[in-house]
Amino acid sequence: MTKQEKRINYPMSESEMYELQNIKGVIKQERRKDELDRLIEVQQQKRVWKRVVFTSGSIIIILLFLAYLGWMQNV
Amino acid sequence: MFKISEKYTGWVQGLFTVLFLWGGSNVYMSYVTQILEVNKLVFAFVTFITCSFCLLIYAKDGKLSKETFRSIDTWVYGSIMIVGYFVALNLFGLMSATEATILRKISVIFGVLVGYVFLMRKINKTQALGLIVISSGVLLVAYNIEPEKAFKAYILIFLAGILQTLRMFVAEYHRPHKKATEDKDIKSRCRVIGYVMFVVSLLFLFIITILSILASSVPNSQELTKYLITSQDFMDYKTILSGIIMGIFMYAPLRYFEFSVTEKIKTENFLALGALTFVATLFWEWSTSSLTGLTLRSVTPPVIIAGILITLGSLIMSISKIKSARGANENLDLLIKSTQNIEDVEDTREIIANTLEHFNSDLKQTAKALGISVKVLKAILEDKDKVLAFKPDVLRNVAKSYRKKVATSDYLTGLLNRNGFMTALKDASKESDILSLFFIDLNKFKPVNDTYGHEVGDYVLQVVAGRLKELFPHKSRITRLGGDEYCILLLGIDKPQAEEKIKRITQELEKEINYQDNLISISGSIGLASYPADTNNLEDLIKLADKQMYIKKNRR
Repeated sequence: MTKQEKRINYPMSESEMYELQNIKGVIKQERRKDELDRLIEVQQQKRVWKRVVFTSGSIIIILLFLAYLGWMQNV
Repeated sequence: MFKISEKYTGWVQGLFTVLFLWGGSNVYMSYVTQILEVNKLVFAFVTFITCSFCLLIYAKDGKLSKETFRSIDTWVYGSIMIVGYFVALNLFGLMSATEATILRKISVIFGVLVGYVFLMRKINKTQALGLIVISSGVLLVAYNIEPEKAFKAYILIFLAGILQTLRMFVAEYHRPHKKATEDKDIKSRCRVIGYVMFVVSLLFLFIITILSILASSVPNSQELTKYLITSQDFMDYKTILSGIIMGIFMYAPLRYFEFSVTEKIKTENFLALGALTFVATLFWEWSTSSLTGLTLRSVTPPVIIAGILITLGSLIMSISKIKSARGANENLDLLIKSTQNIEDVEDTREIIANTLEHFNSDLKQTAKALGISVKVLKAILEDKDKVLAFKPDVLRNVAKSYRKKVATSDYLTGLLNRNGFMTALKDASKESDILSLFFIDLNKFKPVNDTYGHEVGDYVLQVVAGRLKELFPHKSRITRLGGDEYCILLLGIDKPQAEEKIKRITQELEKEINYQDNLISISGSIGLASYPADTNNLEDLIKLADKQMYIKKNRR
């Protein structure tokens, strides 16, 4: 089985894609249209998650800070 | 090594969820609203945003992120969720957790009634009995509410019931949530709910902020702003910390365990465990009262009786569900019990109804054509509650079989029907540049029907179909357009080659047909049109061949 055949028969699984550390680099190197589409999709999904977690995390920190200020006022 | 079965884990997790998380969170809601007197709007926002953060951290990045944000259902589902939570907080702030838990059971009554009125779901005797018992429990508590609180309480109970029922139904229609449920992936489900809660908490904050700003600009608005928020509410450490505690230690684990339990044991089993919520809430409220300062004064003997009634009623309802699920799903792994998703139920029933019609109500043929067992078919046909549907992957296969063997096929001869043939014609043009089409109309067929009856007529049509199939086994598409009209499409055969085949077809048609020692003779008029020799338009091909056939028929 040639390298190309192997890639056709065994494309990268979605879970492997999500685990990629340097997804940007892989996207740059990738030439196959279908694999590239999937990688870009995974990158977008990861981006959404990162932004939401960052936003909600930040809001929680701000809330905690405000709670601290409120507690200090009471003390 | 001793291996704990998944079902066992499911039951343990279910008990933990009901006894600790449901019971505990009910008491906690009463505590924060009555004792800590938190701002309920801010508390709801903090709980949701914290829970969203926890669920997303647990679920990690993955699919359905973009889809959840893009889906309009997310906003609807989320809004119902947070408003429902806010209403529940108000209810728990008004009375003891035990009473509020009983009154929230009104959603069971609403759920069944909505199913009956809008989704035509029948209510069986056991369900009706359970419903009566639950209703009497709810009424008993509602009747015993202190008069000064009664009006507000009734409105809240009604709203809580409506919102919880809506939430139950909308959850089934929320596309990303449905997809995650179908994938049986707990992380995906947590991720989707995490996004929903994030989106809606921000929307909620935005709306209450706008309302508060508007209210503060109205003169003499102290009374109004009391129910909204001020900047001071965001600095109330009690509200924020209790909201964060609720989000991290109760709401997020609740969501996770609900998903996990329903994956491991069936939903109806989990609902049966849910009947214990009253007992759990009463226990936690009583055992922690010295710590929380919550009074059990209003938990009077009628409330205890109502609680017992609610527990009994919920158990009866669950038993009815378990029974109907078992009756229908016994060894029928192909099926799911879809309680809310009317679309899947309708798709399933429509495919079966059409296939049965196609095969003249022959169960065996219907089951064979759809690739399912007769037992499965019977289970769906006998499902009077209209709650059974094929599992999504099974539905895909069944729909595929249906398209191939029923929707595009002629029930009598097994040839393509008109729809199937038109599709085949389009596909054939992609496969071959040259096509020839024969339009055949049987001669002397009407007298056969009149003399021997329709049964013999059907037999003749089947024999002709068989002969045509034998004559052109390869690179051909054959159809019975209706009545005694057939079409044969030959791929890669030009007009001169096709003309040579007319004689062969005529000979086959004129062969006598033996039916119970009666020799029946028929013949056929054949019209021919070729693509692209006669027309460049595929749709005209049938018309031209039909025209040619009529010319020949008139010449006879």
